[in-house]
Formats: sequence, C-alpha cells, structure tokens
Amino acid sequence: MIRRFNFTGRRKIPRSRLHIDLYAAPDGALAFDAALDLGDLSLPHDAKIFVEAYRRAYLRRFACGTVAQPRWPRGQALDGLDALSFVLFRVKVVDGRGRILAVADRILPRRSGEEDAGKRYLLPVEFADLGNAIWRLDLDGEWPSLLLNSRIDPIREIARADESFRALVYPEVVRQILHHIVVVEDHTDPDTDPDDWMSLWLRFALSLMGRKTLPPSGEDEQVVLDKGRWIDDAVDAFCASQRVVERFVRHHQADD
Amino acid sequence: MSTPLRTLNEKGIALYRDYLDALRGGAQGRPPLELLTDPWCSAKVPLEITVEQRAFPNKFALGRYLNDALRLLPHAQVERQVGLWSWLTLFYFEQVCPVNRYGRRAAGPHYRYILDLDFRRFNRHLLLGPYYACKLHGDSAALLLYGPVHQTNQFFIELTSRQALFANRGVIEAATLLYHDPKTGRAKRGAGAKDKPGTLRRFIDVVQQLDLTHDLFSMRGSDVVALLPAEFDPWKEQAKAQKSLLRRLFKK
Repeated sequence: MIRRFNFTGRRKIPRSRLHIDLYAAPDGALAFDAALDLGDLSLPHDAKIFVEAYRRAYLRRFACGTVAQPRWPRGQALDGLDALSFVLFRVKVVDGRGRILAVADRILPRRSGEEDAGKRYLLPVEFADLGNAIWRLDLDGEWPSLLLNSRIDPIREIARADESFRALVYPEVVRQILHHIVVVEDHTDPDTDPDDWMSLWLRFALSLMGRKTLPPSGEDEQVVLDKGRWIDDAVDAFCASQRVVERFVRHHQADD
Repeated sequence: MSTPLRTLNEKGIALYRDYLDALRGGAQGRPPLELLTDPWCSAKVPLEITVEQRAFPNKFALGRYLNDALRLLPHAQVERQVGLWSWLTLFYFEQVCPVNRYGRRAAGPHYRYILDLDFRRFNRHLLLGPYYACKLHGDSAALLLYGPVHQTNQFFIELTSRQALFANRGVIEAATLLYHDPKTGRAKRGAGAKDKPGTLRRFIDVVQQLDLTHDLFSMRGSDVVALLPAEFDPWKEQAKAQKSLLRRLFKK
C-alpha cells in the first residue's frame, strides 16, 4: 500500500480541468497548447502558474502568468524533441514564497488525432543503444518504457509487425511490469492515484481478465505466491486477447 | 592552433569504438586521430566553428571553454549529436584518457567517450557533462566540475543522476553554497561522507522531499538553503563565514 502525506495542504488539480494538446509543428518539432480551468479552486489571485514538460533528462519550464491573469501556451515548441517523442507534463500553482499551492503531475498530453492518449502511451517505445541486447524494459523513469536497440536497423518494423517478436516479447513485458507494480512496489489498489501509471496498468490488467479481483497486498510468503498467480492470470489474459499462440503458429506455418 | 570542428559519422564512431574496445582489452595502440579529418569517417559541421588544443586544469574550465566554443550552435541541436561529442573526445583524447603513471591508458566505459543517449549515462560523457553543467548553472557548476577532465567527482554523479535536481538552478546553487570550498576549488572535507547528518546524500533526500511541497525551480540557492533543517546548520555556518570573508576581501 502506498501512503502519501500532505503536510502543507497543497491541492491536487483534477485532470479533468487540464487540457494539454501535443502535435507536430510545421517544422517537424513538437509543440503544445495548454489550458487549465482554475475556476473554483479558491487559489490566491497573485499565485503564479508554471507548466513543465519533462521526460528523463529533458525538462522545459514555462511561466504561464498568474491565477488572475493566466497566459496559456499556444503553439509552444518543445525544442530538442521530435514529433514522436514521449513527454509528460506537470502544472504547478505557486505562492510568492515558492510554496506549491496546487499541482497536477504526470499528465499525459492528448496527441492530435487521438481519442485516448492514455491508451497509446501505456507503454511508450524508445530507441537506444543497448549493446548486444535486443530489448529492455525500463522501469526506472517516471513512466515505464520499452527500449529497443537502435543498432538494429529495422527494429521499429520488427516490434510493430513481427509475430515472433510480438509473441515472445510483449507477454514478458506485461509480466515484468506487473511484477514491478504488484510485487516490488506492492501497489495493488488502482484507485490510489487513478492517473498514475501503475494504476493505469492495474486497470488494464483487470480489464483483460474481465473481473474485479485485485491482487493481494503484503509481503508474506503466501501473499507473494498469490500475487504471482494473479500475474500469471493477467499475462494469460493478455495472450488470449492478442491471440498470441494462434498468430505465432500461423506465422511459423507460413514460413514452412 | 585552431582546428575546424567536425562530427564523426557512423563508420568513424564504429572505428573509434573498436579502438576503445581494444584499449579496454589491454592493447595500447595510439588513438586513431586520423579519423578526425578522414572525409570517410567524419564531416565538417555547417558553421565555421573551431576548437583548440588546450590543457584544461579541471572540468569547470573545460565546460566554460566548450560553452564559448560551441555558442553558435543551438543547445537543443548540440546536446544529442553523438558524432560531434565523439569527435570532441577523440580530439581531446590526451585529456579524457591520459597515459597514467604506469605508462598505460586506462579507458573507462564507452559512454565516457561516445555519447550514450540513455538518460542514465547521458551526462556521464566526459565533455558533454561539463558543457551541460556549465550551460545550466554557470559559476554554480564549480562543485560538480572540480577535478581533472578524465575523472568524474561524486557530487557530479549523485546530482546529475537525478534529473529534477540537476536541472534545478536553486538546488545546485544551494549545494555549491554548502559544500564547495572556493579556497581549494574542491568540495569541503567530509561533505560527501556517507551516513552523516547534513552531507550530500542527506541533502539529496531532504531536497527531494522539499520538491514535493516547494517550487524549488523558482527559488535562489540561498532560499533553498534556508529551508534545510537543523542538521545542515554547521554547513550553513561555514557558508555564511565564507561569504563574509569574501565580502571583506572584496572590500579591501
């Protein structure tokens, strides 16, 4: 169970009040529009608003005026990122002494042409020099990502369309992510923070399994075994939803 | 003598990597400096930019020099140029991988010479790291960049491995105020000690907590220092004494 403290009484800005749209600018760079409805949050008029775009080593910060006179970014370029880059946003409302009065973090922007940005970015794919490995799951950052070896020229196409790759890699990716969430972090309640990536993944697993039984919480030996079974069920449901065995067999029969 | 800046292409990087592999495997061949100008392995950058061979006393001097030399190139274009940073380490190879007292070059991991875009190793490049630290923090980068070019100090490793801290001016300025000794140009004695109150690791823990409640980005270093709890008082006192000494010296 994750416990959170809030000694300074900072408020959480509901995601429903935020609108961040990400799109490719005409020059190919990534740009965004942002707007926030601060209506009845009862924040001081002179409190300052900041929007931050971030991902790992990348961070850009934009001053957006005050609560009384906000200046929302329109067509704001994110220099150094290309159109396919994955980026998250954070919005802070800050008083004159630097104290955070209200915040929304890990905001997934809406991409142009997407109905549900969250669906697509449950697991962003990124490319890096992985030496002699083909793929690696990165769970160290603020959002999990699947790293593919940029030394392999057609890796993007392989990951997208190769049935063997899909059948052998993705179920293992799901298993590792759920293991990290349920066993390592002991995060078993998808309502703790509904917008957090771990909660999103738990809800994704529950929807695959078509049931509402949450994984058990705790670190006792029996509980850990039960967690393992819950993860097995989730991975099996994932494989069934993707018809992994059927597609894998058909692909290899076609090869023969 | 000025040399036009170039960038290694894929072939140049592959040959450079082969050399580094051999070096790590125990071979002691001379660096493949011919790659620097070989048109099959490197290309000129579009602007008229030159770099000079200089002996840099520390990484801070190097970082400042690179910021000046590369000022015409937009930072967003420079920071991910694997070929450019690889060319630069080969150009300054005597400094990034000098011959040690046993007459050998002891090469470190590849990411120190060939830029690795993985965020965990990105800042550990021996030239990009100092360049980036100086770009972000100016004089406050002194704490991160003391020591010779081929070595990375503990403060750099600990603070740059947490991007939210590394990118934050107020935090780095606060760490420099507390732990940097302008007299020696290095960290104060004991500042990096493990499991002791008020030292670097505790600073990181406490600042990460403060980051949840305060917008440290909009604060100056002294404001961040003021928020730190009593265990940091001895370092604060030292910083205060240092400041008044500098003020007196400046008056004189």
